[in-house]
Amino acid sequence: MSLPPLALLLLGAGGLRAAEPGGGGGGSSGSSSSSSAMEELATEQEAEESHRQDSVSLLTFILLLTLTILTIWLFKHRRVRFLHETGLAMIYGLIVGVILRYGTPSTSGHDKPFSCSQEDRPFTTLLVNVSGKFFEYTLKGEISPGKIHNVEQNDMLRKVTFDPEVFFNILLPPIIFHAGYSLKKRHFFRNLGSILAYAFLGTAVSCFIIGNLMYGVVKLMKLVGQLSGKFYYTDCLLFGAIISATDPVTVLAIFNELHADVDLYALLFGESVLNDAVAIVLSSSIVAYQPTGENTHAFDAAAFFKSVGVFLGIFSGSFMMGAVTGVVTALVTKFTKLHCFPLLETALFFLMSWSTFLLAEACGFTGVVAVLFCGITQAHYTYNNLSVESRSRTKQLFEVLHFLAENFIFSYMGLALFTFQKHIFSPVFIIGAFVAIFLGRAAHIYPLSFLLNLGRRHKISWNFQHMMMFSGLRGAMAFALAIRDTATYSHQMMFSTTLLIVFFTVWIVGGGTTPMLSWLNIRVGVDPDQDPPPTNDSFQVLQGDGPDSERRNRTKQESAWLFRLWYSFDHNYLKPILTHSGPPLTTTLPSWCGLIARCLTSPQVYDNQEQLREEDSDFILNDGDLTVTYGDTTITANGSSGPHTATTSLDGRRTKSSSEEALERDLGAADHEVTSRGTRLVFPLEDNA
Amino acid sequence: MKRFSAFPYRRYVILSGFQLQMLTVTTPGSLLVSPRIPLSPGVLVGVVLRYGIHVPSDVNNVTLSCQVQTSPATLLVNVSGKFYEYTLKGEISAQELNNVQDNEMLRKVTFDPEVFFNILLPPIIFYAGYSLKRRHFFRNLGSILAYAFLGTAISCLMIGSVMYGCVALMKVTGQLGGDFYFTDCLLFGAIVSATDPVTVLAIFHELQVDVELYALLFGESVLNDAVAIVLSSSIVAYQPAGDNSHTFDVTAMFKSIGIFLGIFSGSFAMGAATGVVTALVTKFTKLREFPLLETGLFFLMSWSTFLLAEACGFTGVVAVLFCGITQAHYTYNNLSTESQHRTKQLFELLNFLAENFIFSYMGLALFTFQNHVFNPTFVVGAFLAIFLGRAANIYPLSFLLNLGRRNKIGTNLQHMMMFAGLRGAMAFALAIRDTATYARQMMFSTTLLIVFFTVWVFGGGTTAMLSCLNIRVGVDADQENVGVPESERRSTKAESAWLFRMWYNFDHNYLKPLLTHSGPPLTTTLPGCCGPIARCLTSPQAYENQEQLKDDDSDLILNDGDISLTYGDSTVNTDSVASSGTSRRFVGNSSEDALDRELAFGDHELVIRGTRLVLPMDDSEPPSNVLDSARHGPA
Repeated sequence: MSLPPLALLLLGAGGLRAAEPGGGGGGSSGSSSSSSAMEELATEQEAEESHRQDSVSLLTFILLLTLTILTIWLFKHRRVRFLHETGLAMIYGLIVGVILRYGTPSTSGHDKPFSCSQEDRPFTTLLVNVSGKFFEYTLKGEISPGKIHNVEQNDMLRKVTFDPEVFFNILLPPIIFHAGYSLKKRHFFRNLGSILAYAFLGTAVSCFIIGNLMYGVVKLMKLVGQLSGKFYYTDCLLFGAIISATDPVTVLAIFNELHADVDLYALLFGESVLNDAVAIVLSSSIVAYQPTGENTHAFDAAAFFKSVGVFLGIFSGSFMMGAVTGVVTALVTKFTKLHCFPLLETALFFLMSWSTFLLAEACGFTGVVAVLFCGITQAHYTYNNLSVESRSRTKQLFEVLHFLAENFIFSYMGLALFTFQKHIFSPVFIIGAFVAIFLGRAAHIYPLSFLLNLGRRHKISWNFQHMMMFSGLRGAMAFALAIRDTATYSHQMMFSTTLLIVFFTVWIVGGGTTPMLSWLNIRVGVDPDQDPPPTNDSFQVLQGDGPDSERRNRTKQESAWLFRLWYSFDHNYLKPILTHSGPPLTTTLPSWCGLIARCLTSPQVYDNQEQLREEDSDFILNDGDLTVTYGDTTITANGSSGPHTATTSLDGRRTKSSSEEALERDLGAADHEVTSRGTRLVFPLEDNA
Repeated sequence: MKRFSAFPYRRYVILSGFQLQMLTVTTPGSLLVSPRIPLSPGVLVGVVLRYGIHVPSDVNNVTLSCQVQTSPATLLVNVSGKFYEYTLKGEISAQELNNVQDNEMLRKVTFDPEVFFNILLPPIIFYAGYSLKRRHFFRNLGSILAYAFLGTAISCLMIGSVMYGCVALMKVTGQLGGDFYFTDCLLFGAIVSATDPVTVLAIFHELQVDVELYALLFGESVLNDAVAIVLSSSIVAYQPAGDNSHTFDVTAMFKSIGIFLGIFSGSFAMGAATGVVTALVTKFTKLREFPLLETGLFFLMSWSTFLLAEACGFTGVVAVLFCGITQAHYTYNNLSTESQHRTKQLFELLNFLAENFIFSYMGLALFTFQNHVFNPTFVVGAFLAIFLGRAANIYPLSFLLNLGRRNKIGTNLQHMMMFAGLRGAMAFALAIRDTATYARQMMFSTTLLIVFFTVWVFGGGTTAMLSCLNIRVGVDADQENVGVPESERRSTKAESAWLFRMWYNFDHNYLKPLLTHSGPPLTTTLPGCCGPIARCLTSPQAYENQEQLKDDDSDLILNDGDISLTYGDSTVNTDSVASSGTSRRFVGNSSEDALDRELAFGDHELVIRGTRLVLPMDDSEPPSNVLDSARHGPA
């Protein structure tokens, strides 16, 4: 709905003069008659009343969240794991929804539709002359003719129904940013290839499979006469895109708590995070698919390629936007001494991250996607430049925001099941949708895993594949995408079905995670940094050189050349430019840019060369969980390679090989190094090891 | 950082639109108002917007006659078969009608004033309440209340009367282009009485100025805001019955006073009640095991205070202030250490962002607001009036208070308080709330100028003023009573009014044990008949505290770069004489003793801790100098 920002003057030409005998004399004349004063008072009271109702509805949500927090505490306290906080938030939302729906009297708002013959364009602003006074009205949206009577139905229900854009503009950004910011970078990058494959190819596959299956279902419904509106193939594909956004928060929370296998965690988390981004862009490019000519719902190659172009354009644009603001923040925090003032630093960090979103939206890209990549960039570069206090502050800030936003969305979902007024539940469609998501997920996981296993040394085993299949929960993103547009019959049906799918998967699948884990025989209670699965015993990790070097080789094989290229570029150029760590640019850049290199390298880097341990070694500590990124330690505790690097990386000629070695060490041996620290830090938190 | 004391960050905002603060504007604004429009901030941007950009808005003047009787909240318009829903945005005065079409961009960057009251002010006010230095606040409670309530009322009346004279003069010279009633003058008085000396306080804080002065100014400004907001809404509510709606009417006035009292006490009760509920919840659950949940709960409860008060028709901002004080007094002690940091930092950040946002918006509004009415006579009159009003607030009240106070408020302190009457965010928000009529627009423009002037000139002159008035600088926050043991303690005792002592006893004996893990167990303070209730309400830790020499929740609130020590709850301390006062017969006495100790001797005890904590940061003077200056200083 992109209406041109126009102002329309609707001058009431005095049709009201009959109704108002003396009032037409103009608003600013000093003798305001008592009747207009009364009217003003009435308007004021009305505004006050509406403000009060807004407060009440917001208060309802806040009390819901408070209740959720308290109950969650009780559950955590008693170690109940079958219900996640999001599931609980939904239950409370449902209860309140029922109360609102059936408990409150349906007071009808006193808005009467009045018909005016007008130009055939809606305007964003409307000025209405009511007996000499001008009132300004803003466009809220189009209303389908069938809905007109619903508008008057229940004020309270309308009050608790938010504008869907709230989700995209306020609630989702902190969630997605936090996901990017707390990505376990080491494991993420190690499995980067697989994650990208699952996220991009997998989502596309799943979208198409679901779309096609649903098209079959719709055809069937048309045959048996259950379809009372239009449902095109593009709608089916859109449904596929919406429902392909997986969001296994529940499963991940349990993984986190039980310390399930880290590779599996990284795969699932990475997939779900990127998945969201892909789904959101995919759905908007499907919406953008508008074939020219009369037959607007037939296949059109040009329009199709345009859609693909839109997909690529939006995705890369958002990616660039996020990465650029992340880089700018990193530069600002590097070259200023802002870290003397943690408050300013935190505020800058917050504002820059937010501005990413706004910038992307202003340029027509997708803010949520930009925010995701901004989060990843911030975690990768800026985080190293922040002061220790700012690190914990930003972490905690976004954690709180994420927590609140997520629970809010889930409780709103529960509420929406009853308060949303245009639900269309079609049993055939719903059953078809459940079958479709199951098949879509299967067609996504198993073939891709098979293909990936061909290339991976460290195979994705069967039980992992089953677990990934199982944890295809749908969550906040699917809901937000579905609620975004509920104007037509098909979209309403899609929304209702999505809601049911989210409920089902969060409660049933989320609740079944713990049994499933033990049934599939997946390792639990793994130290997050011991991950290369020890074949026999967990003490292997702490053993000497033999298995270590072997493992290192294997890790080396695993990482694709693309990733290696990126890593060495990152390590040699980006890290030194953007952070205080890494080798000095003077050694990595060719000698002719010596001047620039010297000016961009921070003095600390030279010190780092000497130190045995850097102060910014990329540690991100969540509470209850230790995330170790692939460290920037050019000098590690690994005794054999320690002095080796110190000499080689000072030598400009051999940087290439030294960064390769650094990569190996980071991927393989850094595990070793970290484990010894990790055990000290993690074990106290772990209660069932 | 000398640079910072000369140029407090806030002035960057208004002057130049420093990049950080510029972003502040971009961010919340565009989300709240128009999610897809990029906003450009700062004064410079304001100028650019005003004069640089001319968005030609193509306007269609469609003359339509429709039978509408009222202005409903929702409007359905049938545009060639399609229905569009419109919501009421507000009334537009006739002269504004042409501006509507003027410049779309300017309209986009102009927010709904309610945004300030609903989103930006609550975190600022809450943080003010939450970070109140409670020990000094409570010690000067009487004076602070006097300044805040009586002083604001006096200043409001004074400014209102002066302005009425000014308006009458303008009417004579024919400079007045609209109506301006006495109630408008009073409203202006109320608006402009809300002082906000953040700039001054920031400098005080940095230079470690006399703590009494700091407590007085900060306490006054915090409560002041609450008083001014309620005062202005009760003046607006002054609607005499009958036809002559702008003459004096006794019943309407009493009704207004009733509204003032009702709203104020209602908001107070609301804030205190939610604070108490939060304290109870955090006390009786083991939520402290999960800091994230705890912080979330704390945040939500504090926010719900605001919404609850608004929903009940009270003033949310005032409720939030008292909620903040209650939370700091009780809940804070129940939180886990991590949550204490988290909540502090969270609200600190929110406060910082919201405050800078408001100030940069002020700079923007000077150019983008479209209905400015700058009247030289009125502006000059207003400056004169706020000066007189501030003087009539500070000097007579200080004189009266000095009659009762042992520790007099010195003349130089009075001058400093007079000087520190800056106007800030609250005055702006109150003024922008309603700019429909001519009088209100003139008030808004004048308020804006007053804020600019006071923040730039007074804020910049603080350091110079401090040295000119010879006010002690570099005082350790908690050392001021060292070495003046016996007489000083007496005087402190005499100073605290009986009302305060009663409250303190009640708080110490009943509320603290009930709501937190500290204080004496309820079983010892309550009469024997409520034994079972007392036992079940007292937390097991309270008994342990009895035995311990030091509480683990000794009310320390650590700001960064500053420690504010509250009056500790340690019933057992280094004073060996009073440590036997735990038996039930002597409860009254023992709590009195505790009060003494905390007010006077508690300083001493805290200093021992304080020196360890504070001295590393304090780079100016060794403690012996402070001792000297303390002897010379107030007495």
